[in-house]
Amino acid sequence: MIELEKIFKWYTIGGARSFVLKDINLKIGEGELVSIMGPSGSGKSSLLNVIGMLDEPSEGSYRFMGEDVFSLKEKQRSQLYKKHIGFVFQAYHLIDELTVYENIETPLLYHNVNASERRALVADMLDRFQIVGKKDLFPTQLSGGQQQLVGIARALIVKPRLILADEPTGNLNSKQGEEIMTLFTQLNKEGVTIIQVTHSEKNAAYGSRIIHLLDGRVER
Amino acid sequence: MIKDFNFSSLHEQVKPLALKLKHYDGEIALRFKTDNVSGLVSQIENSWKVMAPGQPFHYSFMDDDFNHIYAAEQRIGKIFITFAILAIFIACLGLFGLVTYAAEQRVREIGVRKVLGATVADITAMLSKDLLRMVVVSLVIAFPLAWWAMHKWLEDFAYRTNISWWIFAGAGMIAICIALATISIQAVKAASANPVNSLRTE
Repeated sequence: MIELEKIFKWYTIGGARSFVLKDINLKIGEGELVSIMGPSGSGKSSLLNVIGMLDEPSEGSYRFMGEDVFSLKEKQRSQLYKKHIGFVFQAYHLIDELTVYENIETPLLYHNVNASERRALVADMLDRFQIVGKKDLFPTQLSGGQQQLVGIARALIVKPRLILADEPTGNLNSKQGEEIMTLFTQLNKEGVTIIQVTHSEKNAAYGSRIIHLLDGRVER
Repeated sequence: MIKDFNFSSLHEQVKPLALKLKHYDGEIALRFKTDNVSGLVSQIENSWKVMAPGQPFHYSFMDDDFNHIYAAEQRIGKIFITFAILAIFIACLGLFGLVTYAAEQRVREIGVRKVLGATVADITAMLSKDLLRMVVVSLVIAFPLAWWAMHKWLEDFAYRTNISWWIFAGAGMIAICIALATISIQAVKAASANPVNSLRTE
């Protein structure tokens, strides 16, 4: 599903190159649950952004579901990631001015889904995560764990094939973190490919594979 | 019309005479057709000197006089346009500030929405919508006021033009276009920001 070849990313600072990613070669198949680990500054988030097509590397090739991502035009690329990739963030990044319902609904607005279908999909999602009672609350009224749940619900509403999670349990306590990881395992069983960046060994263990990054390169 | 009578010396033929029934003001109006205006003026001046020696010779052209009547209105018109342009400019400054502020407040939200699939067009529309609504409200307030003011002003004239509806439609369109142009500069800039930068969490 994902093939990264000779991916490099650098910033030129004062004439010298500062590498964020060095010679990344990765193959991730569909249905895997992969954990990317590494200390701060090892390039984990940058790698995730490249995989999620939010950012471009300086060099290298990336095939997503068989398509050569960098040869695509901006518009086609955004169509691609819009359709197939869902993001979960450490800081949840919910929109505070919108209710839980509206937050979960938001991706659908950019996918040209009509109103009645949107209602059905959101209701379904609320039900699945058992947060129907909270649908009119605002993110600031929810606990961290609940906010992350909403974040994941929002990422899933478009039925993506791939979920990219950047430290999804980073702001949660251990119990909440466990609930999220169980949820991920469940989703993975249902066929969703999940790539998570994490600090915690415990969370990483949920994955079928662990990739270690150090200073922008894959260690093992 | 009266029978010819000799009012000048008998040496001259009875020429056409205009008798005006009013107080003496020494004014007559002449319609003429000539290519040599200054020649004609001197000719008239000479006749005047002969017939009414000692009286000062003043002349003016009626179209100038006519224009002069409206000099005040034209001046008012110019002043109005100047102030209108000034007011619009200041309003645009205000709009520009508003949209810049809004965009800055919502940097994170814009980043999130882009990750969720919003295009630059979607974000621009979102930012513009609220401000355009305000412009429409201001149009609703301004139209009756403008109409009332025009009406009062036109009442001073015996012959007046109509205040047609398309004046308001046209003004409204121009106002919205100016507002949109001002808003889009900043909105597009904000909408084009890369989410990677907007959503940094360290």
